[in-house]
Amino acid sequence: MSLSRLSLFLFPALLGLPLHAEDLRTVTIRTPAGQMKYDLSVITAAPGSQLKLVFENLDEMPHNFVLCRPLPDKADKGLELAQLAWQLGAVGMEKAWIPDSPRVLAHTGMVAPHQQESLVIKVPDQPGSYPYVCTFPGHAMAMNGELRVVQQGPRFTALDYQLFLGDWQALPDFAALTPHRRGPIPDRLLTIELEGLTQHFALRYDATLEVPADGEYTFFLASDDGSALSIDGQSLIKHDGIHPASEVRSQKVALKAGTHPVRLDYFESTGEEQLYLAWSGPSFSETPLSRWVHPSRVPGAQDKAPQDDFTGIPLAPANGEAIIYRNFITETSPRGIAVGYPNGVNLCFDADQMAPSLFWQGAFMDAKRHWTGRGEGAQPPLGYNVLHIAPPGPALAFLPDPAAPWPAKTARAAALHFKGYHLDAKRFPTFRYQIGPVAVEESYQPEGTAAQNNLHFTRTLRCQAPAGTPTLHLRAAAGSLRPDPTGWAGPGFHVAAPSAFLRGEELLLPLAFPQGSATATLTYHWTP
Amino acid sequence: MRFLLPSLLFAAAAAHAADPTESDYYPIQNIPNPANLVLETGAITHTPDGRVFAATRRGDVFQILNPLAPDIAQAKLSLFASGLHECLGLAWKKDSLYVTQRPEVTRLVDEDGDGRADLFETVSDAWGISGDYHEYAFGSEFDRDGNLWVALCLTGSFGSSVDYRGWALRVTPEGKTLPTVCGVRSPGGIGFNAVGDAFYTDNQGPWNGSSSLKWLKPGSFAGHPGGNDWFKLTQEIGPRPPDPHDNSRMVTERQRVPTLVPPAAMLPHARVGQSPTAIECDTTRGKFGPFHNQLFVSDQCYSNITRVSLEMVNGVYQGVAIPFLENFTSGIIGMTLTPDGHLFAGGSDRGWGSRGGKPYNLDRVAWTGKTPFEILDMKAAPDGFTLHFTAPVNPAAASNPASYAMEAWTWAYRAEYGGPEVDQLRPAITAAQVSPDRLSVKLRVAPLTKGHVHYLKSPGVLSGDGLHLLHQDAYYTLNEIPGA
Repeated sequence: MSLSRLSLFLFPALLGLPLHAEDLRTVTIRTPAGQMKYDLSVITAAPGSQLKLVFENLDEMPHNFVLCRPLPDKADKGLELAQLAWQLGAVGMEKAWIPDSPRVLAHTGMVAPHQQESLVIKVPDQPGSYPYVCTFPGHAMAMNGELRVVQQGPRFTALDYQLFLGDWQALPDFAALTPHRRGPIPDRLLTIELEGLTQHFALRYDATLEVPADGEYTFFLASDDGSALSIDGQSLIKHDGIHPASEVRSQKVALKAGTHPVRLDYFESTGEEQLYLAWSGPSFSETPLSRWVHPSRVPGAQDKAPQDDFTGIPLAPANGEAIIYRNFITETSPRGIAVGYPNGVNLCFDADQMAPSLFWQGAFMDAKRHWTGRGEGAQPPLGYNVLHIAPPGPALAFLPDPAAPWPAKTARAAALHFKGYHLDAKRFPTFRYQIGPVAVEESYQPEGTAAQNNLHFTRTLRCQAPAGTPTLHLRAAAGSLRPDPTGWAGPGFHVAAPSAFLRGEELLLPLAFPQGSATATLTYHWTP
Repeated sequence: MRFLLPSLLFAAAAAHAADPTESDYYPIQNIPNPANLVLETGAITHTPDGRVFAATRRGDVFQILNPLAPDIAQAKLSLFASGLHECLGLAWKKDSLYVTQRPEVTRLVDEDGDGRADLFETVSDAWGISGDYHEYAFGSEFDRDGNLWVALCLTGSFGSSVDYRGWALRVTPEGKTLPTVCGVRSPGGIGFNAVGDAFYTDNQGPWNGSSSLKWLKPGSFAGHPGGNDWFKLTQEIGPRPPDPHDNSRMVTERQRVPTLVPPAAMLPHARVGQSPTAIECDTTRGKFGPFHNQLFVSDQCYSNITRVSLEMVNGVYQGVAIPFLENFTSGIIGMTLTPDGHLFAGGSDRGWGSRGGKPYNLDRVAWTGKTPFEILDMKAAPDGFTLHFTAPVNPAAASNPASYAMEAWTWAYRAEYGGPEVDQLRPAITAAQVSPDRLSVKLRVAPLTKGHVHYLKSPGVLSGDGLHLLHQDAYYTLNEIPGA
């Protein structure tokens, strides 16, 4: 077989599959940036086992992990418990949003952005579905999942092997051979790794199985090369000859409660070697009887991600520097330049109309759309609290008269010329462009913190123009705007723009050039 | 389980162990990438002082440190810039790196000397982008007059929804952008020949029966009328040419459309490649082997390089395409050849699969110093072709017309996607005359057909040392018959 042996042996360990209820299993669950989800929607565990859970918060906001008892009468995905957390109100923060409820089985604290926490969970003895949820107010609708407690069957009660050396093309007549070595296998799981042999050997295993109750049981067998299984001296599955372990053969058999002798014969010629045996019954799901777990077989249900689109290519600023992503971005011309700043605020500058098209908080951009396949379509921001301070169109215009309508679009070649940008030491860009005779440098300083709930941008435009250039107008914001003592309140934002005036739904700021230069400084806050 | 297949393969390889292969002359080495950077190479360039830069489809620009070190393990990658939009052109001039990215040509300068660019200055963005992924912009190096050329893919395969899609533009040193050639479909790269004329590769599709290497003669029409509406924006190259007739032939339409320039070298589809990209002229004067002044043309799909030798006949370029080097690990998109004879080549298979099989690559090829036995070039003559070889031939074998075979065909010139090979002929090779120095052979061929590719196979030709040609196939595009 050409598959790497190493990768196959590592496979169950990588997936964190429950090899047996006695093993302490580690599962890592993450909250990817800006997606308001856990990366696992199902975690599987054996009743009564111990589960070590590592919770990694990759998001820009705090999250927790709370494992709940199910409601007796309905599957609520933990939402009822999250509602209790929400009702904690002001004291919720102190209690890490963990309500006093008998439903709480285990929980982390509130885990800050880019931090992690581990806890060891005693898995309930009762099989069933146990919801887990983030109880930070507002998160539970999207951030929930299910711990599936699945009953595992018993493993062998005794297991002995006989090892034979020889070059066979099919199972040999074991009775006519003298074993090279024989003995018990202490963990009572089938293994072919006995002497580090990789070719030219055969094994006969004799085991006893304690069947818990009368009923129909199914055995599953896969091997590379040949193998044969018999129970109570009756042949059940035979897959002789030289072949890979890709095919799992199964066979049902009715068994009485009590002890049954099981015999498995196996041989390996050359190349790869594998052996998988498992069983399932009326009271338990497929349970391995071998140390190696076949990659296609997962006992019970598999831990799984909710959907494939989960594996994006999230981009994030690093090292205290801004990150730039030029591509097709929603609600922006195809000449979009998105900038992610290190304190969790982002913007997109439209290098066609020379205007900021989007401000948002949280995660920056997911590049998967453009960096896989041909890269079709426009990508929305990855974060939240997306603001449109004005509809698409130019931010600057020469108005022929004070009542002239704001232009929907300015022809680039005629009046607007993008000149590029310059990066400062933190790689924050200053955009440069020309509108008519006016050269503009436009920059944004991200200020405030999420914790203090005062994130905002300070936007600065420095303009140079020949003296006598007519007044240029900046559309600082547009929409439903109300004046307040410090500026104007718009939908989701507040803008402070000294010397601006409201013209209908447009907040305009005049830039006059009596001396040939003009500067405008504006601040944009997010508001609830 | 037994390994039967590998042992059989081994036996087959052993039987021919003595035959030279491409890698005996031009081994391909991978630039070390221990950090697993996503090197979806879109363009590569070098500087006069021996620096090498590679730009990627993801918008990063890397400098290759120690690019020319004899031990490639010494080469390292250093991030110079990021955040650009699908880089498909790189050029260097006076301490600045010029990147052609989807929306513009941008000058990158590392002002503070920390190894990363700080200034991203827009040099030209005088074309439209509508948000269609197909609207790629391929940029050249600087030509002799200091112009940087940009070839603009159509919107999709057939049309042109925004300014100058389907054109090639020149950005002058003064920053003017001059519409220069119309009729472009889906370019894959731009380069210059030894005398400084510009060429680009165009991909099989509408009005392109096969992929080809085309001359960007200023003022010309390259064959696809999809972008010709933009004559309404410019008088730079005169009036709009008449549209070609559908389901015609290139030789026929050249009579009707005076500015239509035929492809300089067809790169026969599914024979030498399927998606030609970069063009690099060998000006190393022998540092990269015997192919001085010839063009290397890479192919994204076939992950290979084809060699093209051109001549000018009756005012148009034409010439021969010969396989050169294959087995790159991904689809080549960018190349550069340093004066000391290191060819850097890299690419990606994203969106369009490639034979290489890896998602991306950045490789270096150096010549071992051994000269392969090859057809050096093939020139048209009034009554046949003259072959030049890289080493003396065995005169008995090379003078036997049965050592050769020829087929000829052209492609339908039509609006429909791609085109079948049509008008097939089997020209007869009636004589093969070896020169006294045994370095060339004059083939007498009849008939010669204007506008046809003449495909020469030379399985019987042997070198003086008894070697077969390393590549026995040669495809000559006969736009004009000399003396005719």
